[in-house]
Amino acid sequence: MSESVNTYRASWLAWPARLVCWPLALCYVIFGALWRVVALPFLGFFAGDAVESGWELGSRLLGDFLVGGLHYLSFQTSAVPSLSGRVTKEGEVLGPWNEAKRRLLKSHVAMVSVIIFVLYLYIGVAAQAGVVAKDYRQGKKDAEFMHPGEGGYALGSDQLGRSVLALAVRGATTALWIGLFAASISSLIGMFLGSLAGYFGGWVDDLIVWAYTTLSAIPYLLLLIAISYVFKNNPDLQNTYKESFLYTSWGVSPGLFRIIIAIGLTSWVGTCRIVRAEFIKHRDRDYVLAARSLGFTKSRIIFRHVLPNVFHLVLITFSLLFIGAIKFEVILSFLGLGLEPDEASWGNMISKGAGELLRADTVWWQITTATVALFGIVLAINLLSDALRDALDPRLRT
Amino acid sequence: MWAYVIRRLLQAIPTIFGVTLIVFLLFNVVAENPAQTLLGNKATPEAIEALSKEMGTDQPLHVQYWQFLTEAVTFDFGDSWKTNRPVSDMLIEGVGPSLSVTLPAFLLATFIAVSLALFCAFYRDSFADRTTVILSVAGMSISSLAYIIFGQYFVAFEWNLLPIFGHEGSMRGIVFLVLPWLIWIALSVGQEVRFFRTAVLEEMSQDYVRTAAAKGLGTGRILFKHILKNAMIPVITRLVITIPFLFVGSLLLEKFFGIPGLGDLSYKAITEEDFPVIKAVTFFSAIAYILFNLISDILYAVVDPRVRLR
Repeated sequence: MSESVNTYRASWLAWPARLVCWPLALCYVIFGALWRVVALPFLGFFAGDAVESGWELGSRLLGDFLVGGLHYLSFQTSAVPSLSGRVTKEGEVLGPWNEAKRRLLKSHVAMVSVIIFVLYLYIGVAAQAGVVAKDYRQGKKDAEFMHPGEGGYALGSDQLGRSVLALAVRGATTALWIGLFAASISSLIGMFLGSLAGYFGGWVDDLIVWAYTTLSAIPYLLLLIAISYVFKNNPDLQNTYKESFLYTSWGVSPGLFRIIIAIGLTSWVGTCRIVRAEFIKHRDRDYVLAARSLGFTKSRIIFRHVLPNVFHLVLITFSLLFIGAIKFEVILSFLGLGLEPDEASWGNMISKGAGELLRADTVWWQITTATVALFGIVLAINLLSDALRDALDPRLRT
Repeated sequence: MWAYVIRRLLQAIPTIFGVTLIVFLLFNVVAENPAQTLLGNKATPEAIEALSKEMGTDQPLHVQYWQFLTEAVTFDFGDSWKTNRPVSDMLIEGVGPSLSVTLPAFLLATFIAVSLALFCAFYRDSFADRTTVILSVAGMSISSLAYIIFGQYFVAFEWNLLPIFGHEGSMRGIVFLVLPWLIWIALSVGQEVRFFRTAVLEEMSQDYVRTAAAKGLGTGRILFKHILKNAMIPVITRLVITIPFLFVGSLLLEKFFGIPGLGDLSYKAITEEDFPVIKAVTFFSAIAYILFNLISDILYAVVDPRVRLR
């Protein structure tokens, strides 16, 4: 405990960061429920649409609640049970997560990157809900390749007279979906396999080590391209997907699903390695022996005792996987294996923009917008993951 | 040590088995019938059946997989389905161009990164150090496609300094390679600098460094005589592990600059479902990966006598 509670002062940027984080959590929980339960059936009544079924409504509400809860937790780490159990006079819980939060709140860089990331989140959520960039697909006639500022296009227009700004905003939604889901899938796989391998050792370990050695022996980009290509060009798989509830009731496009699955299933190797190494370190420690002698089940020891001590590393790799997924979406879409060309994504914008650069009138705004948008979120998360590492694992501080 | 090497080489067998299994599952089970892809949508069912028979894709799956394994063991992958040339010839032709892009770029990038990292560690927390770290984070955050597209656009197209596209086997072909080298360096230096800087700084916090300083040695002497050798251990192992991927080449760079290397070859093979080529490339890269991993472990034991090979 290097810092005492009295000398703790958060960076002044912590307040703006809180200001942007709180409403998002509230929006999800309260307005999400209002919107789904009150507004949508009402609107559907007038538009003559079928009202959502109870099952769909329930699952969506649950999703909103979970996302909102995550936002709440991200700035209320005191809600996470304290591991040390010490409480100050002011009632503040001291524990590793709180220590980390305190260090994070003191860092200007971390707060700036949180603000930037949450702004992207706002934009992405607003675009998904249809508040902004609603008619990004609609182009105007005689408005092809407008320069930025011309004809009411703040950032110019593309070949079909669509607003580049709207496309970029909508691309943020796509990028966030891909980042969140692909990184979650691979983190979960890596965490699960890594903890099993590290805790049990023996043939379980051999099997899991074999699986990740095999995966890492194939050049990553090649593997990703192969998986996306094979999934894309199999008509049976495409048709099966189009009948699934993901497509029919959630509207997740095949391209988006393909990218998330391809990246999610292949990028767990790093997380698995790290978690496995930590579990090997922890499995013979006294607290694990104590838990074992008390007769706790293996799953309880793994997931309730050891995993919380390792989880901070998963958090750091999650942020890196998040950026990795967004960057690979761009490459896959560029190679024609990602999203469909008419969908809005930064990869599609860069892909089209690369050709437009070579036109006689040098259309530079589409590719530049997409590159800058991508750069902003990747830089923010890069800086945030550095700050997270410093905050969560001070031994590694450089 | 030889027992260790032999054991590690034996451990390679299940890995190669796994790689062949993944490739097989992807292309023989999940993918569409390759004969259909080769002949297009208008092909008659008879023609497809005949071609399937010729390629052996009408056999039961376990027969096909067994065939694949025997091919892998004998290093004979037959002819390409697309060009009808022996796959081994295509691979050997591809390695040269791939290495001509990746090897010089890799060496230059490593040299630059190591010197920058030492410089940063020497002047730790100075303005120059901070700037380098910030610049390398910013550099890592730019999409690799942006480097390639803007690099090609400005340097080659707009300012006409270097050719945009092409490849030549002889020494005169170097002009085509300079831009890919520069882009590779820009792409990789940021990450490497950060990794190496951390390695050096970690070493600087060791006790023996304090002892050396207490004896009155100068910073430069400590840095180059004491720290450098120890800090090189993680650096060397990391570098050796990247070498197998140099053979396969940079897929994106080769595609953009028209370099007929293995990256370009394998990309084409995937999109044309040229199964023999894909099998050969993945098999080849898996072997290279395993070999260089082994070399890196042995090197680790050689440079650090505390490590025992078990």
